[in-house]
Amino acid sequence: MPPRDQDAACGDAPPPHDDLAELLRAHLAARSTHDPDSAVAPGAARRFGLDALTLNMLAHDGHLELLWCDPAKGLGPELDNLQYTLGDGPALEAVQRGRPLIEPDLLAADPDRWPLFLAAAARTPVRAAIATPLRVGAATIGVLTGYRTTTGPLTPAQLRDLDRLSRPLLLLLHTELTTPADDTSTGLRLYRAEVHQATGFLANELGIPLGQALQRLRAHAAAHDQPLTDLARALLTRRLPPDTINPAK
Amino acid sequence: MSVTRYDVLATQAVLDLASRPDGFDVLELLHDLTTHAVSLVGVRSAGVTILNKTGQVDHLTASDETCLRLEEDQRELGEGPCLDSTRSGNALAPVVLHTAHPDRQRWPRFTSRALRAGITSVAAVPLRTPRQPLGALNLMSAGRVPTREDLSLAQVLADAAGVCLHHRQTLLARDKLIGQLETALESRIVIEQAKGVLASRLGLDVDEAFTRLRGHARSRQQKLTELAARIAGGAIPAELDKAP
Repeated sequence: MPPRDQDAACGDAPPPHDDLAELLRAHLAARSTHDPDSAVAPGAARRFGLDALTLNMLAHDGHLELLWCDPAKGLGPELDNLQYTLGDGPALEAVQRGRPLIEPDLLAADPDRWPLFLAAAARTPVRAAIATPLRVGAATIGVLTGYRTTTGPLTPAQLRDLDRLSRPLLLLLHTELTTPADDTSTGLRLYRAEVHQATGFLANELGIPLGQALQRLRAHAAAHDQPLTDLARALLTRRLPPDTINPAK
Repeated sequence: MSVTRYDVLATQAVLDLASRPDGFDVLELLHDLTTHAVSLVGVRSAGVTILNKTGQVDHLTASDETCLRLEEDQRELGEGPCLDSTRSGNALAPVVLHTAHPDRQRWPRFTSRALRAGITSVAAVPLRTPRQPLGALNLMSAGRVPTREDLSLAQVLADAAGVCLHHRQTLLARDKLIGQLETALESRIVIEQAKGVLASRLGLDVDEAFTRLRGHARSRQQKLTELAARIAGGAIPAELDKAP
């Protein structure tokens, strides 16, 4: 049987005049040799009436990997990192249930829904969240998450636009991710690269498996209310002795 | 107009060909297509040939041994109704086979073999998905020549099988896409982990660790991802495992 084109798997390629797809394509493909944080031009989140928009892919171990966000710094990565550290939140729930979700008022949400995330998010300016799973057929491979500093739902048009992003995003993910791994000039990158470096670092220091090292990092960051990336950096620069992360001590 | 038993059988055959559980056997589907064609279209035998993009036979099956041999003959001789229909993507109206003037025949060598097997006419309809031609369903008759309606029904049966094959291709392509994405993400993560392991082991900073990792992979023409996976798993090559 002849193999089919790859793009057939997620339907036809986005139509050439789809301005949303073009916008995102331009953003994701934008390259900057000066500052990796400015590789993605600002504007995509605003376009959907949001203050931050993030793209996560689901890894084998069930973690979400942050690969793209707009703006490149601030609320988006902060809230996604919180969910990564704490293990609950809207992006994770959307992926686990395979369905989009909207929480128009995070402060009024049932505290049992995301007990850890809601408590931590209340200390940030975020007030509303929306998460849409990225799906290929029946499989969920990632999630698009939007955050807003004001309460209230999105308009039907904004929801529809967000939903329509899935297809071009899949194509972009595929194009960008399957380029050589040491090519650092693309808009997509591992936002938590330092966390993975620190995982390998800690595993070797303590002689424990990688999974266990990551778990200890997350637990330490959660217990000390410290951003996971800060903790990772402190370890890697040897400002923090690895033994500190050892719960046996 | 009342529903006849024949109508019911034909409808059931279409449903049987169009809907199969995931992971179904392609050859079994094609064989069922030929048996449905024989029982519903009223031909003596039916065969299916599917070619791949380079023109090689991917699948070949038939309702009986005689027809199977004639399908194989077409492949061997490079001529015949199934090949013509496969290549053109069009239906082939019934062609009556004659013994006289073999050199004036459309398929001189195939014709003599078919006649020896008792086949007096052949026809074919394309087997296709909504996106591409795949091959052809060959109808071989002894005596009665298929009518236009017979060919229409044969086309419907072939299209039902085509829908099923299309669905299978879509699932396979999706699995492939998902696999590629997951592998790409995993290899990026593992490279970061390996940098951390090396940095710890050799007392370097992360950038220096990556320089050594990449240098080692290049000098030994190893894939960076494979080397990184070994290091992340704790198996550090001896040449790398010493301070610079």
